[in-house]
Amino acid sequence: MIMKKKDMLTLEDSANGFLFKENKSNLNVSFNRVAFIFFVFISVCLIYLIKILYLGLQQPSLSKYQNKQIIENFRADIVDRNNNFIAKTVNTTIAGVNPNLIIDEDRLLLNLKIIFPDQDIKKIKNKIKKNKYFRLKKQITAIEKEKLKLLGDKSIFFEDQISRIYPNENLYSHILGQIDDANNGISGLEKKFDFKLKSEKFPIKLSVDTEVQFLVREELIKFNKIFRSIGSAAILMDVNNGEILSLVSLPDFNLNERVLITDKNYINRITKGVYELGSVFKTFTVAAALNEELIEPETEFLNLEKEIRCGGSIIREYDTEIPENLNAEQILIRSGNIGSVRIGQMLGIDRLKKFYNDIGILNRIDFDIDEVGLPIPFKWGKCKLATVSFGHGITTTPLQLAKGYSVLSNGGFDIKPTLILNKKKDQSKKNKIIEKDVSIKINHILRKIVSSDDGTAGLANVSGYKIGGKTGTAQKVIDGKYSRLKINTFASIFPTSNPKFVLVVLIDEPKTSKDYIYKYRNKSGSYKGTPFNTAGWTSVEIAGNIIDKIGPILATKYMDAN
Amino acid sequence: MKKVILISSIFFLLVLTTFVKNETKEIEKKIFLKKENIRELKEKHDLVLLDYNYLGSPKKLVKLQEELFDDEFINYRLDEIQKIIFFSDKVLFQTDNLK
Repeated sequence: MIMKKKDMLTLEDSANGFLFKENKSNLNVSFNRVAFIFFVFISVCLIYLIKILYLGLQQPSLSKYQNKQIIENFRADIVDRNNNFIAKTVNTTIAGVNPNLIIDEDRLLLNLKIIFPDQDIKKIKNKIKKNKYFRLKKQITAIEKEKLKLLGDKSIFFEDQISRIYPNENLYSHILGQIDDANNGISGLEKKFDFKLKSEKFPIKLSVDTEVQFLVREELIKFNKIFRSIGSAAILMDVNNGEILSLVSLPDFNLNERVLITDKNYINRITKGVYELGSVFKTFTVAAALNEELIEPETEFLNLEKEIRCGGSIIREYDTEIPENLNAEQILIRSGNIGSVRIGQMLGIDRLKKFYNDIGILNRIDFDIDEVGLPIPFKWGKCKLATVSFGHGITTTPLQLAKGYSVLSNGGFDIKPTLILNKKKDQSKKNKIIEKDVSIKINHILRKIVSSDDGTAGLANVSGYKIGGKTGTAQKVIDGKYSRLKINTFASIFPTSNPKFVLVVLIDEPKTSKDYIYKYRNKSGSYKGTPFNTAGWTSVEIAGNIIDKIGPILATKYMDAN
Repeated sequence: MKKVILISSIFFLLVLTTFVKNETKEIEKKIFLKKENIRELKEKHDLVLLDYNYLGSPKKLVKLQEELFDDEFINYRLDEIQKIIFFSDKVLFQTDNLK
């Protein structure tokens, strides 16, 4: 029985012969199709997801501007830090005539003669003959517009136009820049913030102070006459947040008179002018060495030569009476060239180059206006290291110099110079470039340059403001060669106990004055006539007079009473 | 009764809506007029401020001072002032050299 069943099972097995096999025909094709469609769907979703993530991660400012549109016949105002208008847009009207719509020509001409007695009626008559629309008069007054309307003449049309007014005329010419007749900014802030001015209803608030700006400009004009210079410039900046309170460059121009300026002497000397500024660079050399802990202010430098030869040129002291043995502090106070070379050699090319790069002296600065100069690049070498150490063969703009001195004096923090008022104070205190104790040591030495008898800047020792600074007298390079003409600079910080401001004063090609009377600030008495056209007798005197004038304003408005 | 209540409430709501709408329109009109007035006043204020900024600019003030009452002011250096005395409504400066 069992056998029978077994046979049956065997029979059944072989009879059916069933083996599971995947049907690769129809099932395979439909599965692949579904997978393919699913893959395409996932890919599309992934692309969109990436795009959404990309848009989400983009800078918010970019999307902010993309959504804004230019408002027709509009340009936002610009105000100073005290909300005084320094650029204002007013709506004006242009009167025009369409000759095709004139009914009684003689009557119209007679009326126009009465309303505009200064207009040449013959010219208007000739224009009418051409049978083309023409503009009768730009910027008509409200009364003139009313009179024209009362004529009831259909041929008279009115066009609305905007007019930019600068109530301070020349005062902010290099900061604001100009606009063209089509309401486009062509220079300065007007150019840089063109889109913002045309698309945002709110005024732009600058960090400048009109009163301070005026006083600085007045002093510069006065001393331009005294020293018969071709130009001069000054910048006053907050060392902690980079806000510029005053930026003046002379000669300047009246913004209300729209004139094309091609004379290079009208450049913005603070931002665009690239100069070899001389000994003001020595402070950077000493600061770099202090920061690298290579020297201390008391470090002695013995047997300093009177002159050293490098390549084909000779480096010598400007002051022939400078002692052979000086410490680092005295080298800076007495502005020793050879001592600075020795400190520079201790540092070496890499460290000095890195320091200059860190404080932003050698590269083009990112600023609020486009008129920015590019420091002339040079090839570093042994001789270049020597000359750069005392400020020769290296160029920069006075704006970058002011930034550099801000970093040195504010405790070593990097700042970004700006003309726009920062809402958040001290927001730029981010990157530390030098140690705080180095900054304190430098401030102390800079103070001695002004307050001690050995220093070169005694004429700037205005009582009560604890001014510190460094002078720089450099020969001007004309057609690639050093000339006898000079660029004198004084980079100052005050008060040195807790620096708040940096003031850089530059005077271009000053000459001596026979009649000017200097009043000594470190001692009693006065001196008639300029003995030398060096920075100590020119730019320092200007800086002293500027601080004398603006000091009370700064002390009452911008200094915290402790 | 229910119908009467329903119809009367609908009617009441209709009338109320009309009144509310009318009132809203009135308010909107007033807001618009106020806004326009503010805009006009702001424009005037800006122009007056512009005049003030021009006439009160340091350049103008110094010029006026020189023309009108230059001889009425005495310049004191800060370090010359020894003492500041507040007397009644006046502020007096005591200096080394009494001018």
